[in-house]
Amino acid sequence: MDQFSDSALIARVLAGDDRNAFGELVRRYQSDVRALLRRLSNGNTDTADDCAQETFIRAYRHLSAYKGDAKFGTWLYRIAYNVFLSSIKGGAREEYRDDLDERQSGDQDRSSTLLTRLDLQKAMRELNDNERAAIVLFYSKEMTHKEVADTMNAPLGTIKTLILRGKEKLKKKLLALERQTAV
Amino acid sequence: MNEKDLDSMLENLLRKPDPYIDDRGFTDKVLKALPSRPVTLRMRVFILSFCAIVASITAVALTPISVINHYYNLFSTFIMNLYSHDTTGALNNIHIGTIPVAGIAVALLLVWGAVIVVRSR
Repeated sequence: MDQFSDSALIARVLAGDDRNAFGELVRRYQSDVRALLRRLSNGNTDTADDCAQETFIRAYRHLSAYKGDAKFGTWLYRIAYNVFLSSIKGGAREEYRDDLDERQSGDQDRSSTLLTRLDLQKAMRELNDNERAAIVLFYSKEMTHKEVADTMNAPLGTIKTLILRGKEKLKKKLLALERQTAV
Repeated sequence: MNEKDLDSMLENLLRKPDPYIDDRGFTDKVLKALPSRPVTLRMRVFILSFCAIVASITAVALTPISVINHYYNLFSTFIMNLYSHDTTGALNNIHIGTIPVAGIAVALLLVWGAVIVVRSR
């Protein structure tokens, strides 16, 4: 299955309900989708994985709606974002757990730079859901402003504002963290 | 740290790719939870066409032969009158009592049922 393109696998699923082909698509994208949802849910792996599973189930149900005008990954991120929104509206979100910080800090490269991903993760908690989603989709998933606007179903100007405001908040928090470390 | 350094450091951190997350049975879990076969467009067309054909046959079967003859004659007269530019004669011959209500009702129910099946899947 490795040699097939995404579109070939999608065609196989649609033509003959080929679950192996869909399994290959899940294997290809599970890491990206789960990582996105972990970022959106502030590192809550349980919520993120539940949302990721629901994302792939929805993708399977609505696969015929994918027209190939965007990358398959971008289409999945859009579904993932909507699933995440539904989960927080339904009150499924749990508070951020600090033990996750410790578990994840093990594989962080604390380089010569003062700021690490762990610091960023802490700073991200300062953002509201919309700011966090806009920043993650734009930077981490390398979407364009327009793609982020389509995914979040918001005007382009709003997305740009969310990203700018989010970045300012992150900078403030990171400076504060840096000062704490220096003391 | 000045503003410019902080800005570029932040951008680097934000753009850093996420570490790969091992599957560890995630794909198998998703495959087990998948719903039954999704109805594709071709399948929808097939279901609806099949039910429409069955509905038509049922409607004809439930209609008395005299009524079918009546409508056949009416239709033939209508077609012939089309050539003589007189379309009112045939239409005036329709009587409410001859309309095969049961057949039409069953046909409509069948098609309605098919639409519900297609939508629910």
